[in-house]
Amino acid sequence: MLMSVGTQGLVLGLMVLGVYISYRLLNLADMSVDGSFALGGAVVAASLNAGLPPAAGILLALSSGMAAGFVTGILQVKLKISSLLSGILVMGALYSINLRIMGRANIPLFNTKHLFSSELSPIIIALVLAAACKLLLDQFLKTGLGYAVKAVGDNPQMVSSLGIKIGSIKIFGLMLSNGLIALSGSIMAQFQGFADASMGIGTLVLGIASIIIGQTLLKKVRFLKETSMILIGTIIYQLTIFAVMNRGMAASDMKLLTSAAIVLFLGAGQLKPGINAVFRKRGLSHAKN
Amino acid sequence: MLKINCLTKSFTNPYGEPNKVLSNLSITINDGEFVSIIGSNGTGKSTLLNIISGLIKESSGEISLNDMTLTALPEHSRTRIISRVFQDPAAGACPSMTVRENLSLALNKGKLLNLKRCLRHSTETLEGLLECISLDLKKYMDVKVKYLSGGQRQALALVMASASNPQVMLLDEHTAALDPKTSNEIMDLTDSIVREKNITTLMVTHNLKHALTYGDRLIMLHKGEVVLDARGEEKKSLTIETILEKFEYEI
Repeated sequence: MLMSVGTQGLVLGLMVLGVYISYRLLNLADMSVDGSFALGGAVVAASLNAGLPPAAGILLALSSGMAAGFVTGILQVKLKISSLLSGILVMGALYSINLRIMGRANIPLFNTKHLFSSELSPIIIALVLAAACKLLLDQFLKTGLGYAVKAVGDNPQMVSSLGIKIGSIKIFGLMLSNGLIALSGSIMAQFQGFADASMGIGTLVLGIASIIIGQTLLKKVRFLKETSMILIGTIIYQLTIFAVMNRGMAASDMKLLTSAAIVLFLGAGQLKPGINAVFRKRGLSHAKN
Repeated sequence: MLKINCLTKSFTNPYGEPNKVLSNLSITINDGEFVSIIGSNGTGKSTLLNIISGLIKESSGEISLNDMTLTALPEHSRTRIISRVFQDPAAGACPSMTVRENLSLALNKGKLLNLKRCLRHSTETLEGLLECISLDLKKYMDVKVKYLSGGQRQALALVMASASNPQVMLLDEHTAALDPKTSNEIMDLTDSIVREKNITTLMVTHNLKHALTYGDRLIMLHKGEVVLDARGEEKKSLTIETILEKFEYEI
């Protein structure tokens, strides 16, 4: 069971790397994530059902995610629609598109040859995929284009003074982000054995929770890159959810738990000085007594 | 030579009436000349810099640099020849990136959109850029910019702006947010960079002492027109009092 949770964590890690690009690097609230994740699942399920090999289905899913990111980017950059609203609009549109691609709300993949039908252990496949995407992203972020993506989210005014078109970089970043998210959706659909039109619900929150957990818990581990922290954060989050569920918590309470976990990790930094002050005060009063 | 020819810019005020900020402004600035621009608020100083950099479009007139018509170029094309330092020290560099990474960005100006490694410059090259700074920036090479002081950030912004050897540098009240000691240090640094690299520089400032001490030429704007243009001996003979008198007279 733990192996299954670990595999799920690694597959979702690809999605979290995508969310990291939009949420952390570009500093954008891209709500289309939920739709892109399901889009990946829908495209791969439809492709496998049509008799395409898994690799082709995965590539199609990746491309469709990039196309979704391109549309979100165009809405933001060219039509000047706010990032929040652009994402919501694309997410809504993708729900209908996903249903059209699948033809129905759910496609089972149990009797179809897919990525996890081979002899190889699922966790090995997921590990190789997660490591490859992480390393590729790390290498990309060291290039001129990668620097431009990081800088656009950090200081757009300065990037503009370097002669870079901020809009183009945002569109490119959103394509990369949604491509990774759809890739993750396509792998997840194969891992769980079905694609569902609603499989993307809550994906963005899950992604943000994993980023925050990884960066909060591991920020002092200097040798770890942010992408590694995020992958580890995703696995920690999945293991926590698994542990809580095993203690009898209802599956319907999972979203509540996720929100509570984000509030806890985000609030911890703010509450820390206050808590320390209370402890110091108590220590002082004990000393007096 | 930077030629500003019959430049006019009008904005519409909140009541829908046209408000002329620059009025038939014509100035010729020689290569490598360091010009201080002073004037009360709303006289069009920052508007002039914004038009030169392409951030806003002129209503009429033309700006050319040697044989190139700047006003015909889009903003991102002008950045290859024009650098800018803003008033806010946080605006000149990426706060979440290290000093090393920011310097690499500046050195790659115009060549960023590729898949070559950005951090390929040697430490010696990057430290060489910081040679002129007395604010200990060299030892903070791998520190994120958000942890630097305002003065250190502005010094870095200046070095970054000049790293790509621009033909024109625009300084928009770049010492206004700094304490007097640090602002003097930044002005010394500005002067040494401008002289060493022979960059045509326009500096907007409200600090009259800086306007008189630094630069080859002093231009005072009022209601979008030049009311004082002094260089050489004439500039040397000016005092803060005479400029203040001019301010009171014009206003």
